[in-house]
Amino acid sequence: VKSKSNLLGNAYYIFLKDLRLEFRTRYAINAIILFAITTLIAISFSIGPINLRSEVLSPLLWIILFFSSMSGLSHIFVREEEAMMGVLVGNVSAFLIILIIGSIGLSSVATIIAAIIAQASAKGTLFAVLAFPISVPILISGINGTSLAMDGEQFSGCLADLQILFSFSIVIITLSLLLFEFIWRK
Amino acid sequence: MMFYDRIWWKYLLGIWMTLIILAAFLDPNPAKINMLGNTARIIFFHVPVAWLATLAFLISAIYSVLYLRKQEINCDIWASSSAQLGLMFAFLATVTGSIWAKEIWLSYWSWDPRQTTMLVLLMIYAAYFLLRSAVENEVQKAKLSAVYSIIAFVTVPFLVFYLPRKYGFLHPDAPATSGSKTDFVMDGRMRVVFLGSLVGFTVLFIWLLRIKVNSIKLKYLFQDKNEL
Repeated sequence: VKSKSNLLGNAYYIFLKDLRLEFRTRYAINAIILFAITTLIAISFSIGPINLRSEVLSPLLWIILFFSSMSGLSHIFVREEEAMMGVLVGNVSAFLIILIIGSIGLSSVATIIAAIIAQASAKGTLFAVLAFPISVPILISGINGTSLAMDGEQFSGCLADLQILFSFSIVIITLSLLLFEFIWRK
Repeated sequence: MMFYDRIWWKYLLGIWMTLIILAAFLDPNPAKINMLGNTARIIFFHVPVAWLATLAFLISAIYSVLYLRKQEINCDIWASSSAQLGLMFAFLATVTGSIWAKEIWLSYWSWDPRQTTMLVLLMIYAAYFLLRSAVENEVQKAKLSAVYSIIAFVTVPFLVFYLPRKYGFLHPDAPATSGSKTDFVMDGRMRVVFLGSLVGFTVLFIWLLRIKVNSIKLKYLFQDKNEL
């Protein structure tokens, strides 16, 4: 029987290993920078000097978040949000908390689906098709929450969206812990 | 005699559903007491169908858990059959709702939160069958789709019950569950017909599920015979 601290410790070592590997190869870093610049240019170019409403900016942000997490570049969002949205956000703390919990949720969905796909014989586009519908509850409440936070809504106003994000992430992470051994057991 | 003993309830169900359909269309009350007029009659068909979709996904998740515990192919047959019926009923709920929306909201599709979440549910379970078709090994297929079915089902409470109510929709709802902008009211007789329809559709679903499961089992049986 694994204890909880052991599990977290193992996860930490895997995280450290991945981090070192990435810094050694620099492949991921380069990909992230290119991806950030490309999306930034594409969106800034299409928006131009117009000040878009938060109802438009918020879905744009989550589309970038979703696609970067789907392509395995989930850590991109920090840079992205500083570059694009930093100036516009009304309630920064609520905005950041929603982004962090939302990306935890997105990456938990992505992880369990990736584990399933890794065992499937035909991979291809299967990952996005399986992961997108499952992450819709995160996207809907994330978009709504960040939109409210951009407009300077109080923390209590964003609480309902945070509750959905939090409960959904917890449910997915718990299920992943329970189901993971079934996926990899031969 | 055995034959008649076993199918008596199917005749009963036929008579039962005929009565429900007659009552649903001939009872004058639904049109009178609701501001939705004659379109209020959709509740006798649309709601049971949506309820069956949820029930079918629940049964699929339960059999998926059973499969992971017992590793019996039988459980996988039940889980996939139920998911297939659930997908069909979810599709029927979307289509009936869409026809109703044309009459009331003047458009088949208006991205109401209720419509959107139902569409997402359809996508989730369509992906379930995509996953099944992507895995060739039978044991592997059963195992992976069982895991996916359980994960898919935890989105159902969010998509069906919580999100549409939270983000305020035009879809009519029972007065008790606030959040809807249109309350749906029923008198005693309507409620009887509605509950009768729920029961009838549920029995129909169990019948369909048994046919589906038996047909897949027969297919396995013949495959084994051919191999021998």
